[in-house]
Amino acid sequence: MNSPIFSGSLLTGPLALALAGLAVSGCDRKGTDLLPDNSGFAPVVTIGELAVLTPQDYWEYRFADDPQAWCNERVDIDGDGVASDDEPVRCYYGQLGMPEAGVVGGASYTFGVPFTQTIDGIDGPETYDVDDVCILVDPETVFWNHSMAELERETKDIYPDYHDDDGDIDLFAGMSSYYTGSPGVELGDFHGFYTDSLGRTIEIEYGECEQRGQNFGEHHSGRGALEFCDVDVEGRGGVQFTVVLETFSVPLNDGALSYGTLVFGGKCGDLVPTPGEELVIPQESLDPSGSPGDFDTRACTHNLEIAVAGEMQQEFCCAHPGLCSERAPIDSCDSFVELYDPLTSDINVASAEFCRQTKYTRYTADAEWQGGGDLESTTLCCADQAVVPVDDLPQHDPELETYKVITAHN
Amino acid sequence: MTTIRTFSLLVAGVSLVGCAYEEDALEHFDLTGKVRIPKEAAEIVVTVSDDDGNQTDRALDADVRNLGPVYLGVFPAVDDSLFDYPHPEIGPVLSNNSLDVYPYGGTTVGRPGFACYQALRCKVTTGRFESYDDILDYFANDLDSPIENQYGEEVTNAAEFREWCYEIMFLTSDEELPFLGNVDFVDKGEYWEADATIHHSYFQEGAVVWGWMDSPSRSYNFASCNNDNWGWQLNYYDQQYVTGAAEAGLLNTPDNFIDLGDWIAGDAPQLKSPDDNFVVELGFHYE
Repeated sequence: MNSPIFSGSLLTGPLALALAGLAVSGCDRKGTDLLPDNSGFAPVVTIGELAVLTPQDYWEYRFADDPQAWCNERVDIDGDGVASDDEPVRCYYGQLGMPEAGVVGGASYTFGVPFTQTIDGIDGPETYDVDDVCILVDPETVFWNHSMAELERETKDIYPDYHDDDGDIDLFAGMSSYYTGSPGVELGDFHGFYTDSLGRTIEIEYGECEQRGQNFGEHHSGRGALEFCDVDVEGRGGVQFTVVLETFSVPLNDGALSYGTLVFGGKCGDLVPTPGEELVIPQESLDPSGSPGDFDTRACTHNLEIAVAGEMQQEFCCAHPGLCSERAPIDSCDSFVELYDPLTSDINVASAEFCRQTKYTRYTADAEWQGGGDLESTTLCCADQAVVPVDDLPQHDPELETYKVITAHN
Repeated sequence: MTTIRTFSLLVAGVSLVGCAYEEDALEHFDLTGKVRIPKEAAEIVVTVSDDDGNQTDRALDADVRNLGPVYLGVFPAVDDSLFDYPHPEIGPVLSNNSLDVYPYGGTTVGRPGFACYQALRCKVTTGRFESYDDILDYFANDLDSPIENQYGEEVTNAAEFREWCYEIMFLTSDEELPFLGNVDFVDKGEYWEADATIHHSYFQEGAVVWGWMDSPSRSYNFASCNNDNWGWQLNYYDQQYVTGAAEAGLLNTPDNFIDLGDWIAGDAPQLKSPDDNFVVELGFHYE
């Protein structure tokens, strides 16, 4: 009992003070010094109210030259002929900053369930009841897993994604009456309590945005991936819902989490193809431009989305290394070069050939809903990111060889 | 020494406080009782094919083998406002997908059991058959639907049935097969009666015991059994299928599974004490 340790002489002495000092300074470590300054982006945002898009609206959005600008248009929801400032916008693109440690960051918005929707049918306007809505959000551009195995590398995805531009958002939604958050101040959830007739209280989930994976239970998509869910709104016309987009991770390269989100009147199964999820909400990787709230699509990211939708991200990365990881294995493009330039094995020649051969489809400017329209195809490569100039590619003889065409128009 | 004495007293004090804790504040109990089913519920009609392939209805006399699985639960109350039969009080209804009744506990008296052949998935209820011969006779003579083996040939004797069960499930005794053995129900004249125990149920005075029997359809299917997603995966050479089992959520959302023809507890007994021996009569025929 006379040991100096038990007597406390050491623990109350300079060593204890030093340990306490170290412990206190350790508590101050947040790691935020490793992240870029993102003070220009609010971490908790209220978007306001969004409209519920019809299939015709979505078609126009999907093939708009500038989807962000298309979304910013307000909708004349009260039918007075004027889309005033207090009426909802069509859909939304934005950026979120990183929240303070211990604070849940993200965005929230509301939408009202329409009783009916009307679209232009072949024989005139068609009106139908809205029984389901599909809520979608797509954060940042893309992400894919790459193979690190040493075997069969020529057939595996070995070119890595660029991790530092990836972000992740988790999607939740439910009736606004059950939402616990304060829009723009504090993000909430849809947890509530049910008390049965005998007075037993149970905490239950009032959120209705269930995303099911292969196994039972609720799931969220990972970084860069589209999240979506159906909500049964039959008989709930006029009811207001709240959507919560919870920040899960913010990109390390700019500290701003870009995303696009919308609500569609119908089932997600009518909207989301597989593969091709990346194109459902296109061009969501953003750079601020001009006044606050204005954005431009980050250069070439739409082409990268199309490449992923067409499962050609490996080839695309070889021709556009600046859009993918800087730490690609040295043999990442060996099979690419072998395929596109078997004679000289030159990456530039192979890239030029890839850009010449690989195209994606899109509607021409005069295309219309229901009437369809002409399709045109254009090179998948970007002028400002490809390792070769794409404005002077060799001509192509369609009778001698076929293009590799990614269907990007549906 | 003073420190040691003080510490010892402190430990002793804490120990004594521990001894003062009485486990009479538990909220969960084993509830026991009986379930009764009218004889009429065991008189079913099934569709059979004659020699020319024409389908006709066949009425079967009351037989315990005609009884489907029985699901019993403990609930805060019974209501009849949302459906055309007495059903447990339902929690917040947000949409057609949310009909949770938040049960306190529950059990079964007979459940879907895999009886070794693919053709018998979701067709055999535990506690209804005493032997292999009992099953063979029922399907061949009552349902006019003889059991076929993996080659499409009729299984005609108990030895083959047993051998196949042992082979595909690596068993060595009939005790390992839950669909064989004592029958749950006893003939009480006007009704069948079985013992029931609802293990580890939350108890609140005034709670009710309610349940229903999933009656077989005319094609001898049970709405509470699923052989697409539930059960275990059988892999025995070319025999590869899911064996089927009771659906998930039967007691949480019973209204998703009750359909016409089922027998339901009309008057759910109310419990004043966990020691009450409940008697649930499935006397309401939903038709």
